[in-house]
Amino acid sequence: MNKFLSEWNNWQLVVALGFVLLCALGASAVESDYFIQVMVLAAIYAAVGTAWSIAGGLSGLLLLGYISFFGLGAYVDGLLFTKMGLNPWLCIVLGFFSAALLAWLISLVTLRFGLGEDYFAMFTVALSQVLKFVLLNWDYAGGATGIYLTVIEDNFWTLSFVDRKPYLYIALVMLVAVILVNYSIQRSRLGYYLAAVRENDQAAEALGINVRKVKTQAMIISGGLAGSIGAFYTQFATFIDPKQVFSLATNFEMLLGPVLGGRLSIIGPVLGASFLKPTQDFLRGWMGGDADALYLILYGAVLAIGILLLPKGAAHYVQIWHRKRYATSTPEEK
Amino acid sequence: MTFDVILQAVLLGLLQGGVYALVACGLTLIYGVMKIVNFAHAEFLTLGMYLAITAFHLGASPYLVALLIFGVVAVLGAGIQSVLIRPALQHPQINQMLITIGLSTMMIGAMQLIWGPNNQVLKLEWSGEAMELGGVRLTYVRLISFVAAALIAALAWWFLKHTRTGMAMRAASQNPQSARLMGIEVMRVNMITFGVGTGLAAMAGVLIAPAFFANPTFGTDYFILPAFVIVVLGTMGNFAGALIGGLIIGVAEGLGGLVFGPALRQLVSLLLFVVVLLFLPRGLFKGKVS
Amino acid sequence: MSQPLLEVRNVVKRFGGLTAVDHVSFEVMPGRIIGVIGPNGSGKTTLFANVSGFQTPEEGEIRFDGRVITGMRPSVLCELGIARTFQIVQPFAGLSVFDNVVAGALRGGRTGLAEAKRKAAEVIDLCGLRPVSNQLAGALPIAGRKRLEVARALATAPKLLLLDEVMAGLRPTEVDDAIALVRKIRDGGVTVILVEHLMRAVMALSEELLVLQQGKLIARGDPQTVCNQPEVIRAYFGEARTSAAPANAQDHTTHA
Repeated sequence: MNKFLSEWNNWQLVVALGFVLLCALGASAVESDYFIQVMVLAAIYAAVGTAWSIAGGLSGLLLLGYISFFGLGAYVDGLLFTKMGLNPWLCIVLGFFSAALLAWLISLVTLRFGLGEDYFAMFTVALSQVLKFVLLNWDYAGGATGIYLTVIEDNFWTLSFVDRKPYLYIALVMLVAVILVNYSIQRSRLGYYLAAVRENDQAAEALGINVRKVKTQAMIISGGLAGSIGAFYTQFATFIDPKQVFSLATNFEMLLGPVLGGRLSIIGPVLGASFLKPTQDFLRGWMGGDADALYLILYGAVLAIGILLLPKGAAHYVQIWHRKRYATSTPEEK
Repeated sequence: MTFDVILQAVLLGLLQGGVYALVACGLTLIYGVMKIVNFAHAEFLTLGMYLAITAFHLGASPYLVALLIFGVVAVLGAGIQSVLIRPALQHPQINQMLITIGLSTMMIGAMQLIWGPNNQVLKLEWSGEAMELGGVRLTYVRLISFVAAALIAALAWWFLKHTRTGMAMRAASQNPQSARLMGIEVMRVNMITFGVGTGLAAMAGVLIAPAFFANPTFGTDYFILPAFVIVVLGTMGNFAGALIGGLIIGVAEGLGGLVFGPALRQLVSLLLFVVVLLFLPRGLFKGKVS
Repeated sequence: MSQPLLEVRNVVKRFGGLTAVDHVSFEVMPGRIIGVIGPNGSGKTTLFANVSGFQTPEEGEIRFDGRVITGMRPSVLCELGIARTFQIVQPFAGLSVFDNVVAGALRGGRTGLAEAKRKAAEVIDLCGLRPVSNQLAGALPIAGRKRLEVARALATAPKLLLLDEVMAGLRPTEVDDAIALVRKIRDGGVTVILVEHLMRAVMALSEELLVLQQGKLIARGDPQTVCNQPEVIRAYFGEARTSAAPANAQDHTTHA
């Protein structure tokens, strides 16, 4: 067991899963609908953050505009469920594939040789706003009004619940799934390729790694996962509009978790989101409407200062501790 | 669609483009020298607007205190650079970008705190008056803002070409390592660049204050996207490119508003952005930084 | 087996007005150690860049194992069996030494992960990196990083290994170790071409010497003979006498 835990990835996996389990158990005791709601959002943000880390952390891609995938998935579910009665579970799968397709297209266009990271970052941000714009003006999709879901009774088959708790359990399951994907990538060959490309893509190329293909793979997986989470979000929120699901503010909020928590790690995004989202909601509620300005100042300051103080994320320090705790001399350690 | 209408749209676009150019120049300057995308740039424009409004309410003409406002914001910008941005220059790109995003949020909050969330306005007695040439109507405010923007841009251009600091900035933007070896204090240059760049944005804010309603998110809502498009179109880091790009985008938006309707004006910028990033990623000047 | 492993035919590489490689032709037989020398700016590193796929020549042809490889990408060439080190070392600084070598041992997917880890351990032992196997590559001193660079390239199981100034920045004892390592690598069946400034290493290792000057190949053959040729002495040795001690390799000096 100790040998298993001595590997950083394994240790993280155990901690992350343990944490999720704790949340699930804790949730059964919680009665407040509001609190459950916050937890669901935290789980969603944690899942999105963990998914983002595959492209934005492991691969080192400057994936700044990530919400395009999330929003696309949200609308895929919103439209297919309300207009065609398509089963939401199926929509989650379709959300994955449509977002993966978008990711592939973006990669095709932007991961050309000679196009720098800055352009990639700006392109992804611009694209998210283009999508927002398109949907704001697309009446069939509800335009600015958005899409409403009506939930009358609990129905697992159509992923609709009156009570909020089932959503939390499903969200936690999705989070576990994303964590497992991240974990298995890190331990696989792809993980090595991504790490090499991230550290030095020229040297990676010289070692026979097809840099462009590998980056594209990371984008597809990362984007697709965000799409499926977005699809779930629609079912949970029962109301979506373009301003919500393509919001740049939300986009950057979602990145806060992995960046402050540690985007190279498995636990980083989970820790980040679990800490930040509830804190944010709490502060917002506490500070109240008129003091919205104070909230903005505080939030911006936390973001800026947090990044200055924790450039590698909090998980980096945990890793240093872990390395000391499990110091061995066998060449098996990662 | 008569010729007059089109001419009106083009000229109005040109005037607007001048202001865009000023904002974009600051942004491209900062990118050129520091290689950092300042996501908070539009907030400095908004700040300029608010300072002009406050000056006006205190009895001063905004145009007279423009220079003072430039100075104040430039110093503020330089200070912000030293505290928030300089420490992160060795950190990964995404960190730097997120820090400027945090700055943007802080500034919006601060402005909302100081001036409130509601619209503020700067109404000069002659705000509504315009010049009529043929079938075209151009307000004096807009004409002045264009002329002033052009003057300021020319001044900045002269500064870059003929002063030691300006030349140091250009050297640093072309090759930071060589610049360092030549004894140029890159730290100082960075600070000044950020100050000047944000100061320029604030100036643009002063110039447009009489023409628009000010609110905390004004900059982000209307100016940040065109500014980014212009910077990329004109080649990131290229000052002249930002000037020319500004005019092009101004006219394009004007015509776009005519063709698609005023609500979809933004669409032009967005589409142009995506198109430029796809087909002209190096901008008009193919990656050359002046 | 007398077919050349590498054939460079009339290769020309230009950068704007500058011709960095000027109609260079030569052949490399398998199992040999070839040295490439020349003053600064003579085109050595550019030649490497073209052979390893990082640049494409304007004219000429390069063949490897009988196959035309001109213009192919580095990752493809690596699969064919060409590996290189970089003049300025490019380790994966945030990864351990072991992981660095594993990344190479995976050979772009041709080797499974478990097998790659085994192979990596072997290469690490061969290159004497076992004591630092778990350390972060970025924390190694220059000698270790140079060694890692070689190990990583070696892990890709190449037929041809291009070593770009691996001796630069090393102390004399480290140079001796490096010379021994290169010999071991060749004895393992790998053909080696090394670009070097350090004459001691070049003379000790090379079975054949190529001399470049201003992009042109001005001499080739047995090292002792070549070094006594007048044009070589003129072009190169005048400079080499003053730079006999290894230069500090941390600064990037401009080589063509």
